[in-house]
Amino acid sequence: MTFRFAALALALAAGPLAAAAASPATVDFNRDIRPILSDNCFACHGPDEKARKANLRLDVRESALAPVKSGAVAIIPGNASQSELIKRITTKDADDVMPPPKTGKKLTAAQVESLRRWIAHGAKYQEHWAFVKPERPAVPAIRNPKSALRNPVDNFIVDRLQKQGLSPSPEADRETWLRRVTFDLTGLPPTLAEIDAFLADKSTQAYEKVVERLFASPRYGEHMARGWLDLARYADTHGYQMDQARTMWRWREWVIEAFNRNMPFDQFTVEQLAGDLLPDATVEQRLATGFNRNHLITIEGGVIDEEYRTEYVVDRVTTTATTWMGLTMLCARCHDHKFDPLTMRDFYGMFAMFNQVPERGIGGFAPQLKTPTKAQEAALAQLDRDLAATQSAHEAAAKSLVPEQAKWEATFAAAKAEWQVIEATGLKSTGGATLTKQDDQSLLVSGKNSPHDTYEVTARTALTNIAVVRLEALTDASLPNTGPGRFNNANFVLSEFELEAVSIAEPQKKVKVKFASAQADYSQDNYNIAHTIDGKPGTGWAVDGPTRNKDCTAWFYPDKPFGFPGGTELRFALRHETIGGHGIGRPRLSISTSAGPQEAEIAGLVAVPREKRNAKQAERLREVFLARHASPGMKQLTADLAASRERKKQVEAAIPSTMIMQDMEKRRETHLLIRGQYDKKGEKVEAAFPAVFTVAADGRKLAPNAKPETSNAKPDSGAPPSRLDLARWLVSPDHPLTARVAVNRIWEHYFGTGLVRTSENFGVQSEPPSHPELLDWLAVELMRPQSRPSPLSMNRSPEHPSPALRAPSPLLGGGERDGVRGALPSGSKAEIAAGGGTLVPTPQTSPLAAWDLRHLHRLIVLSATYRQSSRVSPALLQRDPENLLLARAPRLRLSAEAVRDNALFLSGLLVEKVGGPSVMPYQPEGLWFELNDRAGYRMDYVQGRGPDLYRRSLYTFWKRTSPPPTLNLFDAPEREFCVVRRSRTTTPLQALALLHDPTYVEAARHFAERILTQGGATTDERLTFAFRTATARKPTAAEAKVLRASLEQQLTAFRKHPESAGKSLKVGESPRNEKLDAAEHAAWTAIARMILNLDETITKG
Amino acid sequence: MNPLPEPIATSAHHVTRRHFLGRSATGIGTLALASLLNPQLFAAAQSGKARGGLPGLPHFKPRAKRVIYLFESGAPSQMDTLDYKPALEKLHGTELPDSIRQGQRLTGMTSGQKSFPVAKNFVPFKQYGRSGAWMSDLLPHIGGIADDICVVKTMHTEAINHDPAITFFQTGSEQPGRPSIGAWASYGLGTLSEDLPAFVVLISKNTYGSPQPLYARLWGSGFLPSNHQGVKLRSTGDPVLFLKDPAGAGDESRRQMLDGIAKLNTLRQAEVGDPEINTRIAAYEMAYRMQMSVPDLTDLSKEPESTFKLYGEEAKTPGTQAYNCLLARRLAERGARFIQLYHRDWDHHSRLPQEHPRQARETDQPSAALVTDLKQRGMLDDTLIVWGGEFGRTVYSQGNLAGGNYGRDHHPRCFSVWLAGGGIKPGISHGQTDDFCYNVAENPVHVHDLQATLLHCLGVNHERLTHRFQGRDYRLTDVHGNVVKGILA
Repeated sequence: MTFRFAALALALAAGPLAAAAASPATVDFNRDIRPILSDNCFACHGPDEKARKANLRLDVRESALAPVKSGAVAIIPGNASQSELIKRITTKDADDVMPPPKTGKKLTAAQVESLRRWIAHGAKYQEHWAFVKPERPAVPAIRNPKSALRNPVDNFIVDRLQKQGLSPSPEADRETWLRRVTFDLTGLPPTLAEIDAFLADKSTQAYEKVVERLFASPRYGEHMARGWLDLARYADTHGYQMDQARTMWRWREWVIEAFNRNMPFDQFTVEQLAGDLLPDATVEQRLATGFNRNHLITIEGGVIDEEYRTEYVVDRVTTTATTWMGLTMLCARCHDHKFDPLTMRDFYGMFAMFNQVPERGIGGFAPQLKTPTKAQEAALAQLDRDLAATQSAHEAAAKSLVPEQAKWEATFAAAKAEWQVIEATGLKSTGGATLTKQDDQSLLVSGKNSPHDTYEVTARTALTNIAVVRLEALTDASLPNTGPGRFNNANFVLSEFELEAVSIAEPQKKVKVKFASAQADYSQDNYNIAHTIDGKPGTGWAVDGPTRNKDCTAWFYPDKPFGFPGGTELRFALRHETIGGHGIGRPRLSISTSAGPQEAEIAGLVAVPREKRNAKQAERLREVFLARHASPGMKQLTADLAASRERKKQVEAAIPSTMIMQDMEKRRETHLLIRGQYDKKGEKVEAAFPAVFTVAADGRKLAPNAKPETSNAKPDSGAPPSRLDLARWLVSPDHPLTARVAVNRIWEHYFGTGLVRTSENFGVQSEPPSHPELLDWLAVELMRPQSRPSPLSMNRSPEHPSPALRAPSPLLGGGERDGVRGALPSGSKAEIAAGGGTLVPTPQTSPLAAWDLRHLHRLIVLSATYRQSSRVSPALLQRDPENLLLARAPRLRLSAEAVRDNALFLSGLLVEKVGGPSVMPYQPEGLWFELNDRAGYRMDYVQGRGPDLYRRSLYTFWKRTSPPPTLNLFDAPEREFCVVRRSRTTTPLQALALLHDPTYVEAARHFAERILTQGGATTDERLTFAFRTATARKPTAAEAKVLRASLEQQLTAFRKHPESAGKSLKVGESPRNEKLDAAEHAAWTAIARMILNLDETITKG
Repeated sequence: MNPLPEPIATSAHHVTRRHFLGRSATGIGTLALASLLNPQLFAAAQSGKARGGLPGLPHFKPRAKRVIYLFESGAPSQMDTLDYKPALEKLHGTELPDSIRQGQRLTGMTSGQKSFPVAKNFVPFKQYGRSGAWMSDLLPHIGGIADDICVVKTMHTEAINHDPAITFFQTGSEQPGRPSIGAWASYGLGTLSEDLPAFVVLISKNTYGSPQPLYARLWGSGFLPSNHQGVKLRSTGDPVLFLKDPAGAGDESRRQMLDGIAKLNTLRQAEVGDPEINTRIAAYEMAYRMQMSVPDLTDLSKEPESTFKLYGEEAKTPGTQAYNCLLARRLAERGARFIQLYHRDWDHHSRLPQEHPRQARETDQPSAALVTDLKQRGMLDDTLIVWGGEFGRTVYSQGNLAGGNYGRDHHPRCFSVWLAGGGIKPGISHGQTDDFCYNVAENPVHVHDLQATLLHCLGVNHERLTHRFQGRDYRLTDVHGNVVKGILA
C-alpha cells in the first residue's frame, strides 16, 4: 500500500503546489474539513448512534449546531472562538482535549486553523462528493497547448499539470506504446511482426487500428477477466479448512466471453447479480450469478450451520458493495458505520436480498446448475437426433412383439429373493472391540474403539450358488447418537468387504470370493460403496452418520456364484482402515441364491395386473423382456438404443455443475443481527437499498425509489426490492457510485493508481480524487450510449454527435432508459487548439449501447496522456514520486499472471485455448500435502501434461489455502475475499522464482531455440532478435556489449563442461530440438534467462 | 460535484518525511534504496538494527527482539497438561452440572450427546522447580523449565472450531482477510537479517495420525503488502521455494549471469530514471545471498552432539518438531523477526488417553530444549517464546468414558498456554480456572490480550500499530485487547 506516500509531493516540493496548499483561497468542506472531522471525530461523533459520545454528532450540520446537554454548542457559525469544538481541540487540559489522547490522534496546527476559518466563514457543509450523482463537467480549455491534446482526457490532465507548473512528457516512441497497449489490453506482448507492421503503418489511424485489433483478440477477454476474478474472489476450492475442489470454471468462461463480446457493463452487472431473476432466464444468465457463489464454503465437522450460512450472505453483501459501489459495507454489520451514513439497517436491508438462497452452512454447495459447454451442447443435440431415430425404429419393432411379451410374462416364475441370515459361529475384532450376537443375529459392537479394526465373522451354510451377500449396518441405542457408526459423530467408514469360502467337506478347497459389483441404499459423497471392493484401504463407504442416523444396506455381487456341495464355511472380514475409530456399530450379514434384486423386482411387476401398471412399470417390464427374449434383430435394436442412451448419459454426466444464485419460494426472514452475531437476532428487517441514496436528509424520496418502477415484479405491490431491483438500481443513471467506481478501476488498470487512490473505498474516508472532474466526465461518458466505432471513419469533431437511444430492454426493466441519457451533453467550453480536438467516431448504423467499456479503454489508450514517455527526471521524480499528476506515463511491473504468460509467449510455448477447466502447471512437489494430508480430504496436485503446462495463468488451478506459489510471490491475492487492489512488491523471492522456477528455465530453453532458428545467422542478429522480442526495442550498443560478453563467457564454460550443457537443457517436459548444438543451445538458454529476468521484460514501460 | 483541486495537498497529514525515509526496500523510495545498496547497512544482524519497518517503531524500548511461536494446533487438553485440577478426582464420572456449563454452545460433534460425564486428568501431575508448578507427566521436560516459563491458565477465545479459532489466533479475526501476526511484526518492525526473511514458518510433519490442515492465510499478509507474508521453510525439496540453481548451472555461470542482469538493469535505470529498477537490482543481490545463507542455516553438521542430546535425536530428522525447534534457534541467531512453528494433531475427540501422550512426546523435549538453549546462549532475554493451541478441551468426555477410549471436545472458555523469555515474568502462573477447568475464575486472558501482550514485548503499542486500508486504520487486535500486565517482567 502506498498512498501515504502521496503527500510526499507536498512534503518535498517547493513552488506552486505547496503554496496552494498553505493558503487555499477558500475553505472547502469536502476538500479541507470533512477529512479532518472524519479521521479524528466521527468515530465518537459520527453516524454510529451507539458509539456516539455526549450525544454530539458532527457529520450532520443541524446536530453540530445544536446545544448538547451541558449547554455547550460545538459549532457556532461565524464565531470560531466561542465554538466548543475549537475550544476543545485547542485546550491544554488533558482531560478536556479532543481528540482524547488515548486515541493517539492529534490535530496539526494547520488543521486547527482550517477548522477555525471554516467556522468563521459560516461552517458550510456539503454532501460527500461521491454520494452525489456525477454531472458531466465542462472540458477545461487549454490555451496555447504545448503538447498534443488527443481527447478530453488530455484536457483534464494538462489543465492540472499547467496549474502545477508542469507539462507532459514527450510522446513515447511507437514500439513503447505498442508494447504498453498490447500488455494493457491483452496481458501479452506484441510480436516482432506486429511491431514491424505498426512501425510501417503511416496512416493517420495506425494507433486506432492497433486498438481495434487488440479488442478483436480473445486474449482481451482473458486479460480483462483476470482482473475481475480478484473482485469475484474466484477459486477452484472451497477455502476453509479442508479446502476441497469446486467447479466454477464455467462461470469464468462466462466472464471471458462477456468481455470478448463487449457486453455493456450494465448488462454485465445485472446478469451477474440477478441473472436468475430475469424473465425466462437462460442457462448463461443463471450461470452468470456464480459471481456471488464464489465465496468460501466450509465442511468442518463441528461448525454450526447458521453461523456459516450467515457468513456467506455477509460475504455477498460486502463483495457486491465493494465491487459496484466502493463502499465498506462490512463495517455496518456489527454497528452503524463509523464514517459513512450507512446504518446496520442498511446492511441488513441488503443482507435480506442475498439471504434467500436455499443453502446450508456446512457443505452449502446447493443450488447448482448443469452448465453444458458449447461442445457438449452440440454433442447432446446430435445424440438426441440419433436417439430419436433409434427409438422410433425400436418402437416399431417392439409393437409387433406385444403378444410374445404376454406369453413371457405368464411363464415368468414368480421369484423373490430369499435371504438366509448368517448365524455367526466365530467372532473376532482385531482392534480388541467386543462383538455381541443379538437375537436378530446382528452383531453389536462395543468396548475398545481402535484406529484400525477388522471384524472377522465366521459362519456355515449349506447353500450353493450363492449369488449375493447382504450387509446391513443397523442403528442401536447404545451407539453414539444411535449410530449406525461407532465414531462419536455416528458415522462409520468401511474400507473393504472381504469373504473367503471354504469347503467343509474338503477344507483344502477354498476360494476368495471376488465381488464384481456392490450397491448400497445410501452412500455419502466421496464414500461410495464401490470403495469397499476396490482393494484400497485409504477409501471406503460411509453414510453421513452425523446427519442421517438410519439403517443402511449394501449388496455385494460375486463375479460368479459360489458355495461348495457338502457345506461351506464363510469367513467374512469387514475392514475399517480408512479413518480411525470409524467402525460399523451393528452389522448383520445375509446371503441369497437368487440372481439378485432384479428377479424379485420383475416378479413384483408381473404381479401387478397389466391394466393397473403405470407407465414406468410397463416400460421396465418391456425393457427386461426385450433384453432377454426378443429376436436377434430386436436385440440389436435394443442394444443400439441402450448404447445411445448410455452415450447420452456419459455426455450428460460430464456436464459441469456450477453453483448459482436462486431465491427460495418462501422468503427467509431477515433480522438485524446484534453485534453481527448469527445467533443474536434483533428486529425484523425488510430488503431495502441504503437510505442515504434513496432518502434525502429532509425525508424526501430521491430517485430512484426504494422500489424502482423498473422492476418487473409487481411494480406497485410495495414488495421489498429483490436482487434484480438492486442490480438495476446500481446501473441506473442516477446512481452516484457505480460508474465512478468502474471508471476508476479501469484507470487504475492503466496507470497503477486510480483517480481515487482508494479504489476499494469511495466513502467519506476515501482519498479525494486527484482529478475529480475527469473522474466524473469519464463516469458520465461510460453511462452515455456510444455509437460503435469504426477506426476507418474517425473524424475530428469538438463534441460527440447526439447519440441515438437504445431500445427498451427487458434486462433493464422496460423502457427505463428511454429519454434518460439521450440529452446532448452540456456544451463544452473546450477551445480546440490547432492540431488538437477530439477524435470521435462518426455515427454508425450498428447498435448503440451505453456502458460501453471499450469506449472507455479507447479514450484512455489513445489519449496523449497514455502515449507519453515513462522516462522520469530526478527533478520530476522528487516533485511527484508517485506520478499522481501524470506528467509521464506509468512504468509498472506486470501482474503475476502476465509475468508468466509473457515468458511462455516469448518462448513460443504458450498454448492458447480459451476457457475450460483449470489446469495444473509445474509446482514444487508436496506443497498441498504439507498443509493438508488428512485422510479422505487431502488433494493430490497432479501435474498436468503437454498443453496443460503452458496455458495462460488465469487457468491455473487456484487452491485457496495453498495458492499457486509463483503467482502468489508476484502479489496475486489468495482469493479468500474480494480484492480491488493488489500490492506491488519487489522481493528476492521473486528473483529466485524467475531464475529457477522450471517454468522460466524451460521457457528460456525454448526462447533460445527460437533465437537460434528464427533470429538470424550472426550473433548480433540473434541478440537483437532476442532483446527486441522481449522488450520491443533494439539493444543499445552498451547493452549489446554486455549480452555479447555474457554469451561468450557462457559458451566457453559450456564447451568446457559439455555435461553441464546437457543437464541444463533437460529442465521441463517439452522436447528439445536435438539438431541444435548442445553447448550453443545451453549458452543461448543462459542469455534467454538473463533477458527473461530483466526488469524491463517484466515491466510495461 | 465539488471541485477538489488540491488532493495532494490535503493528504499531507498522512505522511511525514521520516516515513518516506524509512520505507522498506520493497516499497518505492529512492532514498530507502540507497540505504539498501549501502553495504554497511547489510550488517544489520550484527548491529541489531532493523531495516524496513515503520517510522516511530518500536514505540518504546522492546523487551524482545523476536518471537518464536510454537503453535500446538488441534488444541491440547489443558487439564491433562498444564492446569492441574485435583478436585476432578472425586468428580470423575459424574455429570457436569448445568451451573457450570451455563448453556455454553457446543460443537456439532457433541451437541447431540445425552450425557456429559466429567473426566479427570488421565495422567498424574508433579510439582517442579522452586516455583513448585504442577505439571502433568505428559510434559516432564517442560516441567524441568518450570522456573523459566509463565503458564497462563485463563486463555479464552470466541471460536469453537479449528479453522476460525486458528485464524483468530494468527490474524485477530475468525474470518479470512486480515494479516497474520508475523506479517504485522514484519510490517511494523522490519527485519534484523540481511539475507533471510523477517517472518519464517516451519511446519512439523506428523509421524503418524491425520492432522488438521493448515492454510496459507495463517501466515498471509492480508491487506498488508505481500512481501510481509511468512516464508515457509520446507523440510523437503528446496527449503525456500526455487532456491536451488537449475541443473547444469554452476557457481561461476550463475554469478556471470547475475552480473549481466545487474549491468543491463543499471543501464536501463540510467536511461529511464525509475528508482524501482534499483530495488530490483538489490532484490537479485539478496536472492544471491539467500542461496548461501539458507543452506548454511539448515546445515546442522557443525552442531555439537550436546545439541542433539538437548533437543533429542529426532532433531537430526528434517520435518520433526525437534528439528524445527532447533532450526528456530538457528533462525533466531541469524536475525529472523518472527518464527512460527506448527505442531499439529492434538485434536483427540476419541482415544485421548492413548493419543495425547505421543503428541506430547513430540513437543515436550524440544520445546523445553529451545528455552534452555536460548538461555545458555544469553538469547532468552530478548526472545519471546509462546506455546499453545487454538482453544482447550472439554472436561466432560466425548464418547464412552468407561471404555477408556474417550475423547474431549473443543472448549473455548478456558485453556492454558505458556510463555517464556523477553519481557515475561518467569516461574509464575497467571489466572485461575474453576474446579471443573470449565470457566475462568479470575484474570481472564483473551486472544486479543495475548496478541497485545506479544506486541508489547516487542516494544509495540498494539493500539498504535495500524494499517490504513479501505480508509480505516486497522489493528491486529481490532478494537480490543489489553496488555496482560501481570505476566510482564
